[in-house]
Amino acid sequence: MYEDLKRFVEYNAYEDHFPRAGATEYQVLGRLACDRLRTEAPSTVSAALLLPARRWEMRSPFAHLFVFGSFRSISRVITELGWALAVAYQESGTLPLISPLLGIRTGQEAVDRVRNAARFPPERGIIVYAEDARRRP
Amino acid sequence: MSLNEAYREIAIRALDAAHAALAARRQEKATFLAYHAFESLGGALSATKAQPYPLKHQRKLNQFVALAQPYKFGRAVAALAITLASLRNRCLYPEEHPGGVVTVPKDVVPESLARSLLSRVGGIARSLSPYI
Repeated sequence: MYEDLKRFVEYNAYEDHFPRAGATEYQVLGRLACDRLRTEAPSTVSAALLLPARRWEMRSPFAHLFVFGSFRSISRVITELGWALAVAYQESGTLPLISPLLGIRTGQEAVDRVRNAARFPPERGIIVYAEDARRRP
Repeated sequence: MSLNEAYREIAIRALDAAHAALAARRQEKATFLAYHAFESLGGALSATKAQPYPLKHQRKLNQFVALAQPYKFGRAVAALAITLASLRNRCLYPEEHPGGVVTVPKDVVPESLARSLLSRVGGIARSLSPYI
C-alpha cells in the first residue's frame, strides 16, 4: 500500500523532509502526527493519510486523517487514535478529523476512496503512517 | 447569570440528557449530547477567560484545547476533542461503504463506548469546575 500511496501525495513521512519554514497548519500537524504514530499507532491500522480540509482554506482549523487497516470497529479505532494524536493536536492547534475507511486492500483503492470522500485530489496529502514502510530495512 | 454560568448550565443539562438517552438505549444520541456538553464546557472556560467563543465547531474545539493546555487535564481534553469531533456526524447520519453496505449511527457507537465517553466528559466537567 505504501508504494501505491506514495505516487499520489505531496509528502510522505518516510522519505521526504517536511518544510520547516512556511509550513501550513496541516503540514505541521502531519509532521507531529507522524512522530506520534511511529510508536503509538493502533495495531489494526496499516496506513494513515492526512489531507488539508479545503483547497481554498489556507488556515483551516482542521484536517482530514483517512485511516486504512484491518479494524472492524470504526469507533474503536477513532478512540485509540484520539489518545495517540492528542499531543500532536495540542502542539499544532489543528484538529485531526479521523475517517476510518473500511474494506481497503490496495493503495489505488485507498486513493479512490479518499478522492471520493474528501472531494479533493489527494496529491497534496501526507502519508503520516504506513505499516509496510515502517517495517522496511 | 453570567456567560460562563450559562455555558456550564448548558453542559450539565446536556450531560443529564445524555444519561437519559443512554438509559433509553439511544447510545448515538447520548454520544452526540456528550459532544454538545463537551463543547459547552469549552464555552464556559472561554467565557471565564474573557475570550470570545467562535461559531464554527472545529474552531470552538481548537480554542478549548488551547485554553485547557496548561492544566493537567489538557491532554485528556485534546484526546476527547479528536474522538468526539470524529464521531459527531457519525452520530447523526448514515454512512455508505463499498459494496453498498450502509452503517447507521446506532451501530457505529456501541453502548459501552457511549458510557465511556460520557464518563470522560463528566470527568472533564469536574476537573474544570474550580476554574469556571
